[in-house]
Amino acid sequence: MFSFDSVTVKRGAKTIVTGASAQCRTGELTALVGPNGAGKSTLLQAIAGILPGEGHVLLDDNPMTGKERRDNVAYMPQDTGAQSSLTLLEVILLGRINSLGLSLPEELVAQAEAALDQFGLAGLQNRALDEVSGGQRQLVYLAQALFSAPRVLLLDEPTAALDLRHQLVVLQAVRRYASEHGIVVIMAIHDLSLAAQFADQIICLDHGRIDGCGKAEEVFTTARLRDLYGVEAEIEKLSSGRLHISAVNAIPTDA
Amino acid sequence: MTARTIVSNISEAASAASSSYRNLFNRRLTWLVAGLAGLAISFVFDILTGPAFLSVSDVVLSLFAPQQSDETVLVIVRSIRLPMTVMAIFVGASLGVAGVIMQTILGNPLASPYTLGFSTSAGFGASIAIFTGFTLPLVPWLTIPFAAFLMAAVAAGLVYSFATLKAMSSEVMILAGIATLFLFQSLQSLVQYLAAPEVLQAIVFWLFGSLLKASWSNVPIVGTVFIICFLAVIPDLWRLTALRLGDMRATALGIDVKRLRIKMFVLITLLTSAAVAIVGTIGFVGLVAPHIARMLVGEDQRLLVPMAAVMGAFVITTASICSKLISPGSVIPIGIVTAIIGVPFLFILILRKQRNNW
Repeated sequence: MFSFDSVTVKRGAKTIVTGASAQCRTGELTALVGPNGAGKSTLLQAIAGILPGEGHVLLDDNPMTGKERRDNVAYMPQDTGAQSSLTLLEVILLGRINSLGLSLPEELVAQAEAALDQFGLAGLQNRALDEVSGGQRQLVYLAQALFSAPRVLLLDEPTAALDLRHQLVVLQAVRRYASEHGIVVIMAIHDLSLAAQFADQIICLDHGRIDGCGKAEEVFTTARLRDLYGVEAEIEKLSSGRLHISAVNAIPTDA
Repeated sequence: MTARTIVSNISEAASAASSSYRNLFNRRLTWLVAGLAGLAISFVFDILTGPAFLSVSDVVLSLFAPQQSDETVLVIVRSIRLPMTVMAIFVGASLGVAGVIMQTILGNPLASPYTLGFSTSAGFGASIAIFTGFTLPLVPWLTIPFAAFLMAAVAAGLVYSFATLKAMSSEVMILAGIATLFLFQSLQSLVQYLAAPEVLQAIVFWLFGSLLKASWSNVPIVGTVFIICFLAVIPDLWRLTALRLGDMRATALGIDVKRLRIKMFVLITLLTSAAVAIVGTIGFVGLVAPHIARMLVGEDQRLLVPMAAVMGAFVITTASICSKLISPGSVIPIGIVTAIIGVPFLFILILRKQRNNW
């Protein structure tokens, strides 16, 4: 069990996240949703220990120190299109930066290759990062995060640059990895249908406060979506049992 | 397909992948070895060239069997040319390493030891020493290098003070560095404006940068600083590599980016100050050597940092050879020649490469 309790993050005089608390079970995927500027990235960075903040982060009910967070929590930032001519394999290897020395064991290189291979990028291992597409770059960063063998994986918009097929590939891979390795995954995501399809738990964030937390069916209501996004939404339960969420009106209700 | 076949196929695939990476790494390593071989050749040719004609056997005998060598040749090789060549290697290596680290921590391909104003401030320090005629007691020969080093340290302190106010972000470091550069450039111009013609001539000669100032008393200073700084960089090579993914990703990988920048900033200050304090302002090497190295060995700093050192040393020794050949009988200050040598070399590499390396 992983939990964060009363997490508050301030930037100057402005409070970005206020008293956020939630629990996430191991082997499960939690989706963090909310409008732009709600504080999703800030909350993830505070949990990862990248941004200073108040509150507690606990793994198996034990408060995590800074070092424990660095060793056990992997954070994958949004793709900012950073250009680098590092090869894809070198990027993956950096996921275990504390294990890297002047020479690299064959086994480690083979494992890094396998990490690339799970996303079908094995043949591109010597390709430079700035020579691949935005979607492929996103997959490489995800493979890097998984290569670090974290106990808690925080993903910031992991499907933002991906086409429909790769969105499914990534989320299926993440869910499978979480289940097989018993890790906690929290991902910030904008696509509510994907969140409902893949996440075991949904956390709604609005103006830095947690507005709702639970199963997709409980959290996604037309009233809440109207409040959160200012959009009249239609929530449809498909024959497969999944939720499909779409906007009814082309124009937001408050526009 | 049997289980054994599947395991065998996976094992072969992993092995092929691993060997593919090894092939790339070995190819890059070969470039490093080739660079060292090129440096060894330019080292010998630099000692061979000069106003007095020497043969290869003269040089080899002087270096390895001094008892069999002619005394005049011995003096030329061991007391005049060898310290100049060794100084060229240490200065080039220092500027190459300082340049590549600067480009990495600032995430900027235009960065070099000049970017933060260290070289310009060293020039101002030397100018002040020449202008005032002040000499250090006991070690008068160290006056100008000391003044240059001191002023470079002052410039570093200025940039550092501003940058720490904004968490050592690369943008603030560059802005503070450029402001410092212009400040010391103006002060330098003021000193030159006020100086008498003979003093002005001495200042300008120092600013050109010349290996003629090298001697066995000052070579160990630059050499020791280089070796200490180079060894200090080694534990952080992977962290520097990670910094090429940007500050946020490096931080997400558990790297204390601010602390890393401060450490590298100190090392760059030491490397640049020591290099320019003795021989004067030698431009362009700190910019071009890292780019040449990056084109040949990529971004893995385990190879890039040593390659930048080798390329820096190679460019300066080659420039030193040319500075003696351009006008036979005299030695043109090396600071004038480095860009003339470095630019065409860089252009050739850019044209031959299919892709952008930054």
